[in-house]
Amino acid sequence: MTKALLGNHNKTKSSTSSKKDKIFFYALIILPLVQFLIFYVYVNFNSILLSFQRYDSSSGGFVFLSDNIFKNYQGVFELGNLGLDLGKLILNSVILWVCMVVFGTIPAIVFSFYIYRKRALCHFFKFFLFLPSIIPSILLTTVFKGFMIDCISNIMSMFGTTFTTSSGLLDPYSDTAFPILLIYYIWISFGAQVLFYSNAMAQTSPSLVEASQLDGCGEGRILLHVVLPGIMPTVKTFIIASIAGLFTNQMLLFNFYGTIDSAPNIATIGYFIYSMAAPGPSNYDNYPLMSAFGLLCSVIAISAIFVVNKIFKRFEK
Amino acid sequence: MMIKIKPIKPHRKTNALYIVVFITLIIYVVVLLMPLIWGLFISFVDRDAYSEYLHNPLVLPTSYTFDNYINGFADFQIKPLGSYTDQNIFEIVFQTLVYSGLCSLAATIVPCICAYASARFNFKFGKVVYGIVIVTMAIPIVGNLPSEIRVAQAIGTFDNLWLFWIMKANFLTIYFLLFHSIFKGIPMAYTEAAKIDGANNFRIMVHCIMPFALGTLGIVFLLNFINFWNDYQIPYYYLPSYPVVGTAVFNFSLHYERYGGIPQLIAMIFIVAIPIIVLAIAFNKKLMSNLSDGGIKE
Repeated sequence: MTKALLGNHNKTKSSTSSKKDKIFFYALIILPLVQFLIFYVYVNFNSILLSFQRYDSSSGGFVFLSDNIFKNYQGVFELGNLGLDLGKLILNSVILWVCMVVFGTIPAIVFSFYIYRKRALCHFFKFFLFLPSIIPSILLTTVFKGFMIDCISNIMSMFGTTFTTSSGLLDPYSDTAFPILLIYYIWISFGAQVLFYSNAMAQTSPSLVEASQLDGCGEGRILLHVVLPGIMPTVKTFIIASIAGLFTNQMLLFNFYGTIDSAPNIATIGYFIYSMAAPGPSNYDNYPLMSAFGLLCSVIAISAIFVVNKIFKRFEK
Repeated sequence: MMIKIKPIKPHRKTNALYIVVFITLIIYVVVLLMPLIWGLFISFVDRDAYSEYLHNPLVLPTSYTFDNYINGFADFQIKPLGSYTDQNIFEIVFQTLVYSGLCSLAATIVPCICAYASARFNFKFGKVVYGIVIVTMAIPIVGNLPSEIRVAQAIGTFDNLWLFWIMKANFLTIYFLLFHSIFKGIPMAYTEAAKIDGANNFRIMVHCIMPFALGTLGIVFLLNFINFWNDYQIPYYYLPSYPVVGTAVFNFSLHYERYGGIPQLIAMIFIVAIPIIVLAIAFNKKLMSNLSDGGIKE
């Protein structure tokens, strides 16, 4: 009888505690959840709706298309009307993505290995590799722009190179601007990768490295056969995350040139979308088109992620 | 008498790979610093000397002045959208502090609290929250900026300095996963012991578990603060009436001829970049440390 009473008492106490836990749990997440429902779920749902609408200047709102519901999707393939070349936009974005993956990832792994093995001036280099992530990008780009135009281009002019405009090497209509900005962008983007890779490398068992050294492995082999397999999940995550960048990366073009009218032929998709989405009635006409364009890009990005993931899994096997 | 034994340093072979990487990294640092050092020099050159320098850029100007910084400080004014009066540097810095402070606070605390709820309570919905973070991080959404702007305008967070942080108060960031792993690593025995002692859920969270994540919280806040301070693209669109330092500098860079040319423009940028560079240098070891440090050390 006493046992039964005690048991009952414990049960009541535990159920009260569980109820309190539940209330506390939901109290903690309710507001972030509401925020998620509005600013993620609803925003993206509204983005889909927007891609089937048009701006009605008389009412100042967006109304559904009545004649051709896919007009905005067709508009994506007729960007020439906005003075832009869709093929060029895609090509520039793909070049940027491939270069970031190849010339961004490989040096970042090698630099991280150098830091992980604590070689000469490793802390000094780590700081400088991370520095561009701390310094405001607008400072870096303004100083770099001034340096390239007023210093380097002028020096080249002294030695006989002729430039058609005062923007020199960074003239957006020249052949030099895109490669220079691409190299510059890769140059200042090592920071986060180096930080993550060197932290991932630190998890490698030291005894594994020592054993491979005793077996006569050189540093290159240690990197390729001992350390790299250990950090492969981190590399994979970075590469998969970079796929979204294919459509969002602006390559700092907005910093360099402002709106897309100044540099249409070196534009990337990310720069194009950001530039066209400026708030204000003059740009509201573009909103449905941008939403349709973004939606198409999202579908491609999601498919690409599945493909890349499958390729990685096949390699892992 | 104690005899001090010097630790023997392991012999390190000089390797061709390391020599190549070392040289590459030296080149990296030089190339990175060259424009910055050039910019620093130029920021002390007056407009006339700079015009002369442009004719022969191989010879650095000989006369330097501090005027660009003085004039830059005075000229650091901008007319916000729809306003007839200029805002001075103090107002702009104040707005930046409010924007960066509130947004970084929201972007730090919200993932931390959600991660705590998801990791420390064994409810099915906690796992759903974790799943939401993983799925949204894996699925890239492109081009929802127009829709977000429209929603912000409808809700009232658009062009509202004091409410804009709501848009950043989400848990869909990598920091959620970071905090989740920290909270998951703390044994439940701590919570149970505190419960036996009569502590309620709030006290357990604040006094027993959160102290383990304080270091990481600080670093995440600092990283967020630096990001928001440096960012100009979001306030440029969402806060047109409240220019922050980044927005102001971006506007100056588009019309630099009005602001005493390139030397003064660079001086103006250095003025607003110095606080964040000092902050970053002061905390550089913390910022570059392993963020996963936290929880209980074995």
